[in-house]
Amino acid sequence: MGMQGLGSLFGFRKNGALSERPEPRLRAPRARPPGRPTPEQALGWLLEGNAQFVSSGAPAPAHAQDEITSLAKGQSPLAVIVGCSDSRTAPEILFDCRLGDLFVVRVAGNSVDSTAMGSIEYAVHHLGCPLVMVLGHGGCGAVGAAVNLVIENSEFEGALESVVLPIVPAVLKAKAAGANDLLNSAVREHVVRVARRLNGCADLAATLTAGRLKVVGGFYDLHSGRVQMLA
Amino acid sequence: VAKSGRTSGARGFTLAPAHRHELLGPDAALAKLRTGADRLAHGDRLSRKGRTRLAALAKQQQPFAVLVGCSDSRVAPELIFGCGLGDLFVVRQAGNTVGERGLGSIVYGVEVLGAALIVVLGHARCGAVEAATRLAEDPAAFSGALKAAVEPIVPAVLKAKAADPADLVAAAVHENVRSIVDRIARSGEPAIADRLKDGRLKIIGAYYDLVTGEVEFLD
Repeated sequence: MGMQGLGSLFGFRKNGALSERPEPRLRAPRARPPGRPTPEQALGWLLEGNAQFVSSGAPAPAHAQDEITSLAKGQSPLAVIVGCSDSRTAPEILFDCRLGDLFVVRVAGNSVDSTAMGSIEYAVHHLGCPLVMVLGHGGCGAVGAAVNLVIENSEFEGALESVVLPIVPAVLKAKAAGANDLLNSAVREHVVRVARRLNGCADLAATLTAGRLKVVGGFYDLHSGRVQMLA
Repeated sequence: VAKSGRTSGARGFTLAPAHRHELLGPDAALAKLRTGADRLAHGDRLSRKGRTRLAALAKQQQPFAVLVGCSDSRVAPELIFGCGLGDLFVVRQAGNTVGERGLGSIVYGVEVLGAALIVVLGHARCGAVEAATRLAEDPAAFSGALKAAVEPIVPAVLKAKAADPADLVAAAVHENVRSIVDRIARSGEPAIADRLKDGRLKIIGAYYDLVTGEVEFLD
């Protein structure tokens, strides 16, 4: 997607090989969709980035100083990612993004409270983000804790409890459905529930209806590095 | 933190207990972040680790620091500090504020995963802090969830304002970082209090300059 122009700008050949030094092999950063992208374009661009990550190809070059300086004037992120604090699920890395690309809300167990909702609304209404992706991941520790609460009556004290409790309804639903892999089924169910909540948010309704915003759910597989879309 | 019927696992968690980890101490963790921030080669380390790293990480994460940052797309902690997957346990919210779930996440990162350092990272030209300066002037400036996100920052704005600074937003960002560091330290969570007391854990504030790309640690 539009790599040739940037490739020459950064002094790389189209195949990604550096023309001056043999190592390290670098490639041009992925070009963003031009203009004001639709929700579908933004989603396609994200998934293309994930494919790039999975392919484990040559990395993009470091941010140049002028890239950082010009971003200081303003941000126009392509998507909001509502993700987990888990250190293995950094959205910028999984989607092969650079500074300025993703507006990110992260808390253990990727749940959304009213302040998180405020962050999302800011990105949608003030920054014009066309896409919100709720991103869960396999083997999530916070969801695992909610599973332990349901199955083994584990108790959690203090602030940890506020992380675990919002996930319990998803565990109960996955359990009632007789899931084989309760943990990962609960992760999926929780993502779907959070996405549904955002889709039903009154303050986002007009933008959603106008087709200027889409809310989707994703599941990140820690082993394959792939993000799978959830209904 | 958690009482569990299980005899294995870390108190209600299925993850291996933190004491088995060979983790960096607070000072080594901070030194690693400083080095990362000093390097201009931000993006460079990231995708190169590839699949082998994924396989090892899938079993267990062992982040060396908890990073509390802003949702702003220009302040991605992994990119700013030159970190890879598995390095940073990250809590992000507009204005880098910490609610109950944020605090619970931090406790998880420290107690269950064994991170020895908590960094609260504010940044120049923060939209949430700018909004808080407006809310401090006019309580009707925002409503609903947006107001809920911005409101926790208002006390820092008022405190910064009292000193009549040249740049109110920058001063309020610094004040906001300081007050969040303080809130985490005094949260009353035993996992945090105990580790701070015996030096296994450190909390530090930091400020990212959007224009220069530099991080200033607020020791």
